[in-house]
Amino acid sequence: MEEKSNITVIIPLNGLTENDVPYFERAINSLKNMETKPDEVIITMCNCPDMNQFIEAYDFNGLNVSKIINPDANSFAKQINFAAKNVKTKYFSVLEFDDEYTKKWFSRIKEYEKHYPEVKIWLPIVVDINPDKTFLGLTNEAVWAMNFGDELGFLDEQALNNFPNFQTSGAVIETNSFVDFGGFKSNIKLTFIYELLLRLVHQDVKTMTIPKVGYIHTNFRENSLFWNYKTNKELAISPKEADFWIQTARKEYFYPYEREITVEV
Amino acid sequence: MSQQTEKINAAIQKLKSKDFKIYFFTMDSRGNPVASVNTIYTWAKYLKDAGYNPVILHEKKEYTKPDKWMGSTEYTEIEHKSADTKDVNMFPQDFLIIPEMFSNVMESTKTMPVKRIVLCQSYDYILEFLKPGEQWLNYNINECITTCESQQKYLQYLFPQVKVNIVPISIPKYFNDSDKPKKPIFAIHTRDPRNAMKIIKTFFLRFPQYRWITFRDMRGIKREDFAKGLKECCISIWDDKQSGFGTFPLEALKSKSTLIATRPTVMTDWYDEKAAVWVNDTIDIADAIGKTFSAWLEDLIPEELITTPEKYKDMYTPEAEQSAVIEFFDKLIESRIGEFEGAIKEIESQVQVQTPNNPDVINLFD
Repeated sequence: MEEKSNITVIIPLNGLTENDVPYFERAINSLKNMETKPDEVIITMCNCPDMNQFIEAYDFNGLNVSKIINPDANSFAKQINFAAKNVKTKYFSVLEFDDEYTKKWFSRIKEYEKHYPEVKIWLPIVVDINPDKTFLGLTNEAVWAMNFGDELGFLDEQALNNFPNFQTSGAVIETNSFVDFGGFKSNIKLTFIYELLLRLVHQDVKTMTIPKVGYIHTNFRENSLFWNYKTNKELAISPKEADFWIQTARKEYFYPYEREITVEV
Repeated sequence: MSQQTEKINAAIQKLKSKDFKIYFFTMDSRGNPVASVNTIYTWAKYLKDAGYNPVILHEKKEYTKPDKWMGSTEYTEIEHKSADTKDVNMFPQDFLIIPEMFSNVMESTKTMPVKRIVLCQSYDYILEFLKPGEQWLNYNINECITTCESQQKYLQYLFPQVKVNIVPISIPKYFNDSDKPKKPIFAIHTRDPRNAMKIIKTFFLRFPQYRWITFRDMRGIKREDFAKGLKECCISIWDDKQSGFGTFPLEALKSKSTLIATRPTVMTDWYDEKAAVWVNDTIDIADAIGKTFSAWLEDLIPEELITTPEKYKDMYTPEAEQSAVIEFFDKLIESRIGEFEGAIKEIESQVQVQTPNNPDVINLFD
């Protein structure tokens, strides 16, 4: 019998265009191909009739898929917070629909969990690629650099304060730690992932990067959140504003709840 | 019975009752780990445990015992003597083991009344101080111990008249797989320290995406700490074409650290193309590391590279080495007794034979 992963995968969706479908198929195939499969897949989505129809008809063969409609689907952070409250397993992981897991990623969690039971967040080494699949770089690997932090392989508050470039998509996160400490703060733009990690490590939530490629992340797909931050005139964030959000994350992580933020750039 | 015969008989009795000394001429490691010195102390300890009297013979009075880097004082409890002092008295029943490099010691001790044997752990040092045109037979040395067949062949090629025995060395049991998953750390061991830096710098130039990797230079670490460090490493790099046996790569294989290595000039006995990523030259190592590490990160290391090293787990064990050492010295003593008994027979028959067949042994007792 296949070993239970105790992991729920959350896929946030806020509309799917025709161009997005091949990405979505690759993401779902990566789930189907995993050695250790998630116990459940929660698709949290907008109330968009076309997409709902597409998802209803989609063949998720072999996967235990639930769909939940979230009225706040235009916010990535709110979608994850909403879905996390519906997770019944010990861990959850976020799969963006244009990304992929590697075959052994969840098997690695089972292996590392035995050796490092104190860890609550498992980060994969993320391979960042362009939409044309050219290699851009790696993320989450820095914790393995000598003298980066207090302990090789682990993320700590001071190191994270100095180096914000970490990614939670693909990470396997203990559900209770995420929910109890407040989840993502949706009023923080650009750096809500950074703020969450700062807040969790500040609360001694042990965070480790498993030194294996676990997640393939497509960067700057047209209409993606970060593509919009870069190219959409209405949503674009200037370097000055980006710096503001980094500084904001560094101030806000001491609070487990959202505080009012006035953007001044 | 002549006085000479009595002396030989007494020597035979001492040999039979293990009342003699086995001197190991040993270089001063000066507190730094040296594999050849480690072997000598290990063998001396085996012999001591078997009731023999090994003595570490060092050149100068000032000598640093290797207890710190060997991690145990039990080795240093072996008797030590300095060749500098006058309290070293060697007798015909004693043995002197001389490392291959010290042809000067072989020459200077050639008139000593002891059986001398060369211990060759690294063929690369044989010719280091040997004078052109000279050979070990010129120093009355006709027997040698080495650690593997490949070195035995080379020694027989150089010195066809010297008897070459094999006593394989061992890797301590604490060189084993880690109970935790391997870390993205690379152990590196090169004969020339400059090559380590060349490999590391080339690797970072060729693979900037891996600039977060830690290289662990495995020089000068206490052996048990060395083993602990090695078993954490996902990759081990070995660059020593002149190596005679290849202790480091075997330690890496036993520790289940994926080995990337230059092929040695003299192939070691344990060499297996499938056990490691082999390259021909130092210049090829950086690319081999990059490719192998990419495969490791993505769980794409070829199966045979994972399974082949399994076979080394039960090879070169301390038990096998210990029994080989004891067996060798037991036979050596038996053969020495035979030589002495032969000498007595010749002395007794000298009435008929004026020229003895074995004058060297008989002359020892003059």
